[in-house]
Amino acid sequence: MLGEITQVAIGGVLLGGIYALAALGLSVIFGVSKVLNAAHGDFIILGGITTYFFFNLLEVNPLVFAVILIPVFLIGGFAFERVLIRPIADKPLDEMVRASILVTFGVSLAVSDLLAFTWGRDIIGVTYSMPSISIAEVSVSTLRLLALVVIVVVAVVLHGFFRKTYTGRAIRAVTEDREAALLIGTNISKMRLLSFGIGSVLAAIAGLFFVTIFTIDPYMGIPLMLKCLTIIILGGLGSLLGSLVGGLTIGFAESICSYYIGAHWSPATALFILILILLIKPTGLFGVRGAK
Amino acid sequence: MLILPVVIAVLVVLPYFVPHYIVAFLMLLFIYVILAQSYDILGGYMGYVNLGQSIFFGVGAYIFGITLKMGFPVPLPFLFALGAAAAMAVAISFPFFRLRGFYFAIGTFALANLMFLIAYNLVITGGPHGLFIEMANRLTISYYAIICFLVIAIFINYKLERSKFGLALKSIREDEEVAQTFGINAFRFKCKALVLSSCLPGLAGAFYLWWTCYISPEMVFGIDITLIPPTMAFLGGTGLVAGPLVGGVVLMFVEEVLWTKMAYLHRATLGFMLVLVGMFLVGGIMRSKRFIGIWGLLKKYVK
Repeated sequence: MLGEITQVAIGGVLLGGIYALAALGLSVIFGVSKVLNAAHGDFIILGGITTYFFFNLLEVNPLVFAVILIPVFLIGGFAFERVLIRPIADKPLDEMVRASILVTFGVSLAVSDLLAFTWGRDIIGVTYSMPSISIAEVSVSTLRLLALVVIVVVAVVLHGFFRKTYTGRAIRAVTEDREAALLIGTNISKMRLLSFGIGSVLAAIAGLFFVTIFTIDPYMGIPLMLKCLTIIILGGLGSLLGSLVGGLTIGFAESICSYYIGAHWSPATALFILILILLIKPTGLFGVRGAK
Repeated sequence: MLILPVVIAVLVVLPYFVPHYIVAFLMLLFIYVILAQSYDILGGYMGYVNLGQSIFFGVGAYIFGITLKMGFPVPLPFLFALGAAAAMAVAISFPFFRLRGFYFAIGTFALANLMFLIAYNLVITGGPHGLFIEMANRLTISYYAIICFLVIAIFINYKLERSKFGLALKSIREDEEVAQTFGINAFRFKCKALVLSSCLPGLAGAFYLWWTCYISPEMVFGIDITLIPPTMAFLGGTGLVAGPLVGGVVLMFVEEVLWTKMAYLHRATLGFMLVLVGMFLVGGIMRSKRFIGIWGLLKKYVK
């Protein structure tokens, strides 16, 4: 009984950690550029597909491929921002909102359809197993533990980045108060570029974990994006801690729902929570900025 | 304005001259345009991007199917569908109109996805297998019904443009707080607008099922039916009477052309079009300078 609950709990924490990573990417992008990247979920899937592709080439521990993913998606994110976002970013607010919804949704549709076309509609997963270890009466796959450790490390690194480095603090500044940041001479355009780069990398890494531990299919983009959105709204925009807490909450909720209610309802969990949060407290638990 | 009765007359006699395929294509186009026009009540006149228009369509279709299967005689399920869609609109109003701007858009989108999952998982809606009703060829009847609804939808927007109700909605769009200081009970108007925009999609959904005899969650709550109508409205020009219609015709035309050239990737093309519209045509085709120029020339010719 305890073993059961622990399994569900660990699964939930791991899932939550992966979601939190992806959500953090979305949060950084939104905080700095005010654009809700509806294609974020598809970035995650792209990260996963890239990992799958490389895994088929060299059968090593998939976590190694992070080395490839980071530069590729950093540049990819930059390109995305320059080509698609920069032209619409300086328009008046409501036009920008509408334009960004259209552009990012459009990219999401295009990417997911192209992926389905080239990779087929199958569910893809990376099968790489490491031996399980047993703690108490619970057996845990080492790969999952490793993933958890890596996620924690990434979170710590990010925390350090946002706290100690100039760029990290600049990003936080822009997120918290755009006008003030402009006044002190922060280069918003560069921060926007960076935010898309960082956000894409985080999404890709989350995708790497996703395809390694779970499975992905080409159409998961939009549901994943909605989950990330739930998390950042739940945790509060612009807050690293908020995204982590929100991610863990959603991961937990989905795990528990999947186990006790049924796997077919678990995608609905995040949506349900999103609607609840939007109605009860749209600023979220740790909101750094006012919501609007 | 003289062309209008001519167009309608042509559409009415069309089924007798052209193959079924074209009638069906037009039906689908008209349904999308109905959804786009009713979306525009909230999206264009009131300024709230409602990505949940498909909710009313799907609810109308499913309630129609379920009540028909329960045995209610024919006109009643249509009324149930209408009632259910309107009731849904009222129910959504209370929680969702606390949200503004993009939160409202995402919230309604999430709700549409939730409805999909609900329809997918419940037994009464047939789950992933969908809902079947008894087969019969009702193409012509549904076609005429849909044309009626389309005319009504465009007429509603036309009236809205010139009415006090429409003015109130526009004032909400411009600045909700200021509108309230002028004595407009924002919530009442928002709720009424949503109910108004839910009626025709609900009926259209019922007739859709009546015609196809089968619906699945994907068909009535899926990504296509959720995102295509707002795209049409954006493409043609929101807040303009003929905007969604123009956008709808252009989009369907482009899609048909592409469908014959490449059978797959039509969603990717839709996505690509969304990107282009977002980047270059944010006001819509009818607001672009080229179109205004052409329209001006046409008007001169007519005079």
